[in-house]
Amino acid sequence: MNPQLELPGYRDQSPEVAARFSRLRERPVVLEVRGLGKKFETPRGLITALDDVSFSVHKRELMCVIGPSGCGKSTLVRILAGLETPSAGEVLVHGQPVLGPGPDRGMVFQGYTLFPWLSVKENVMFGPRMAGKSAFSAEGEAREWIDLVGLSKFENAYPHQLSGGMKQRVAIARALANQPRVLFMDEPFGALDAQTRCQMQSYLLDIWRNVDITIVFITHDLDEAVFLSDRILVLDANPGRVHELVEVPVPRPRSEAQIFEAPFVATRKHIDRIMHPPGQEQKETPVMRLAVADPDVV
Amino acid sequence: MGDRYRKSLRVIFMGFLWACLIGIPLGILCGVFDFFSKLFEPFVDFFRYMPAPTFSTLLVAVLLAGDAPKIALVFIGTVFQMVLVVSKTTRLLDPSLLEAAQTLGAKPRQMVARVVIPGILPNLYNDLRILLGWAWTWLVIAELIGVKSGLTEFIETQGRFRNFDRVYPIIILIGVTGFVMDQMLSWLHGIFFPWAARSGPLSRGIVTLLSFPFRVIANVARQRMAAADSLSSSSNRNANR
Repeated sequence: MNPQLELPGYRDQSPEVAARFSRLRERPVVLEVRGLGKKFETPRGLITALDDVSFSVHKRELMCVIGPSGCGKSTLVRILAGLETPSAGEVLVHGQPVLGPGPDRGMVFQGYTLFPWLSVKENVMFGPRMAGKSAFSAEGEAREWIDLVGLSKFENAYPHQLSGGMKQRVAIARALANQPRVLFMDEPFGALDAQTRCQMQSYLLDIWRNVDITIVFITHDLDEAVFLSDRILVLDANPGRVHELVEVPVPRPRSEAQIFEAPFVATRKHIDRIMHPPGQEQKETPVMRLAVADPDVV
Repeated sequence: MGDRYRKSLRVIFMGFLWACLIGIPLGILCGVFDFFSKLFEPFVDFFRYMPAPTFSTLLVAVLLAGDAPKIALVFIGTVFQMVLVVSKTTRLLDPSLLEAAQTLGAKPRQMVARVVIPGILPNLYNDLRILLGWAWTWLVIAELIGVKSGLTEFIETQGRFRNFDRVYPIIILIGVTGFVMDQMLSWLHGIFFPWAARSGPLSRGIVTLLSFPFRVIANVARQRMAAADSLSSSSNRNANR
């Protein structure tokens, strides 16, 4: 980054972006989180994973949750999906409290979690079949979703025959086939290599543009968060608290070229400061200093 | 001799079949639901430590002489191990698959039928292969109780007359039978569970060949249904409902 470059503040929004955010705020709230807390009992005593987390997500919004490791992002999304119960507070989807896992909230896990004994098509059919649809209509729906993620050629393949990126696309199609109100994604691209991850981010934005879906996306990757989201929820670690809800000033539609533009860089820098405050950098390890001592290596 | 051989096989398979019928559902229940695990597993553990042959006199008294007590002995020897092994295999299923099924709207009963059972089948199959080997041990003891029968009776009688040249072939026959059966079952694993990614090209080729007519029929049916659906869209759909 050029140190001479004058960065605008991350709060400076162009008129179009500002108008976009004011429209966003007027949309109905899909997901509301009120005073959420989670404590874990461990042999070393009570650990507070989440403390008084409150925020709301509007319809068709893409929100990223970011924070240092151990800040309870995964716990948060598991509570939102209903896989864990909170110690305090409540989660409302369209005003209805969340009491357990359900088909109105889709989830994409980091570890793919495709059913290995089902083909791609049967995996996507799983949700509609559970909802009691006939095999024929579920198959038709599944075809459309598989087509949307661009895997029509592989509909009869088994998960072990697919690459990581393809598996995750199937997982997205499978979650969307239930037509959930909210889609939770827990570091879905964390296990992919860098290039595939970039592709998948563009794919996800494409899908999000074409499907009426609200997305809550968990990540620890700054660039990913800024590239994808409308707003970024930055969490503190120990205990997990909301530090700030950042409105990303980068205009849509997003493209990879924007990564080097001023709003992107400014937002990225701001969140980087929050996550790695100056003065708290990791100490250099002796091993690293050894490597640096050789002038030819440097 | 062929007669004895067939009789021995009948005893072992009937005993193993009964053990499977009772042991597998119980094992899966114990593996999935904590309630059943706490209800059954202490009893199973208790009975497991009683050597099956100790029941032999009782079995003969209750089930009379014949094949019934022998089958029962193979059953008792196998079923308790089976419950524990199957429940352990069930617990080894990746819990994130269950979570994924839950977020897709599966209810507990659907999860057992659509996720747990298909998910554990390949491992369950291998468990059964090992347990079948154990069943052969119980067979030898089973054939000695009540009226002696089958291959063991032959070994026993001939051994008493010191005709060892007739005993060894029978022992080898039992070994070969077990080995061939296990190899066949191991090979069938690839055909039954192509998705477990362990199947070789040969078994995969056979599956493709065998399923060819069914796939053709399914394709034709699918095309016809799609054609009928697009031709008379509204009326047909209403009729279907």
